[in-house]
Amino acid sequence: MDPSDEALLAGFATGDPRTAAAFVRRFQGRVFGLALTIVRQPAIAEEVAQETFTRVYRHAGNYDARKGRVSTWLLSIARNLAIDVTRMKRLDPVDPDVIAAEISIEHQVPGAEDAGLQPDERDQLRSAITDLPDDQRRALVLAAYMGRTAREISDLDDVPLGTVKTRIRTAMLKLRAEMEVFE
Amino acid sequence: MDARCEEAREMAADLALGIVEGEERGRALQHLAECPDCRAEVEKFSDVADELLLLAPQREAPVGFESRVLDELLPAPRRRGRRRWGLVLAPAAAAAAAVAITLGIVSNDLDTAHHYRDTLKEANGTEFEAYSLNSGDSPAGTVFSYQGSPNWIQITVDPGHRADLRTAELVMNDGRQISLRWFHLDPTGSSGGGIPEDPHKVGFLRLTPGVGGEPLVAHFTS
Repeated sequence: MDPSDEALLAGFATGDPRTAAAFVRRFQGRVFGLALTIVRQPAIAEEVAQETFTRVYRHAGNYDARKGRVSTWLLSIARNLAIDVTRMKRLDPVDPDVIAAEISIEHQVPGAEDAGLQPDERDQLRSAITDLPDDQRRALVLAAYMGRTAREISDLDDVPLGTVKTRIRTAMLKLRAEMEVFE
Repeated sequence: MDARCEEAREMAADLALGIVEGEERGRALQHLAECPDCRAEVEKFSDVADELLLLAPQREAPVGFESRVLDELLPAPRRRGRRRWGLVLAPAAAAAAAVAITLGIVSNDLDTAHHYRDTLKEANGTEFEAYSLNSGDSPAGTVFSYQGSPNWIQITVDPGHRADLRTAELVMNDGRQISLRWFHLDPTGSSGGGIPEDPHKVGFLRLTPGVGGEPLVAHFTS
């Protein structure tokens, strides 16, 4: 049986070479994929992914299994780093419709299965995102993947701040309702 | 539920997405620390935010990514077959190293390259790496690669594996094959020359003997 994500993280943090290699191998596709989704440039995405593993190695002691899975902790670090580098390097903004289209399709690399939702449940979540009204989906992607605040989205799309907040909240409520069906 | 609860729940989705900043965020987090009901509300949205990140397309990491991560983080030599020094070489130093190798300071031990450390300290942001050359599972030599301008490799073949090697070709990560026309082993078992591509894009080097012989292969990744 494959070791759990938590066991691999613990081994990675201690510097055990075999476990560290297994940890990186298990998550590199996800981390690099998310970084590339946000920064769009493979070389920069690789920098982000490498820095993500460095942060995880140094801060593994901060991981709290009660607050979430290893994969989501890792990806939240990658996401924040990618957003930071996008701002720091002033990369061209990505069209949120492109990201929305990408996340609507299953992209799995071998050996990277996750805990959490089952594949069919994840497909339903994808469908729920696709079914969102365009303005809600756009606001959601800008917030979730590009780290745009409601104020920034309001300025970007020239719509009232309250409208943006409502769009994000409504979209999240719909997805949450969809996930509650799975439970 | 008081006004602070209403405010926190109003922004629960934004908090879960990590897009609340500054004083507003501080005020909300302070309230969440004291209010389990509001905390539970935000956690439900956090589950959604987590799943959104997991929907991002997975991509094959670049070739050698795993090695680069581990080389950066784990200090001790970890693997047989490849060692990176992370050195950055000045062209002159690289050329000196190539000459030194060509002159026959050759070994099947990758640690041989430590002899060149002092020479290679001058850096220009390019890497020098070494890979095992193998016949099946048996060590048969070493391949050194230099990433720079120009890119080059130096091949050293152990005695016992040198006979009748006729051709050398690089097989790139994208499947292209590049014949190394300069390949010809000198009496010390060495051969070196420029390559038209970044060594990072090389999948493996293959040395092919005459009919019936087993090829020697050096993988440029772990």
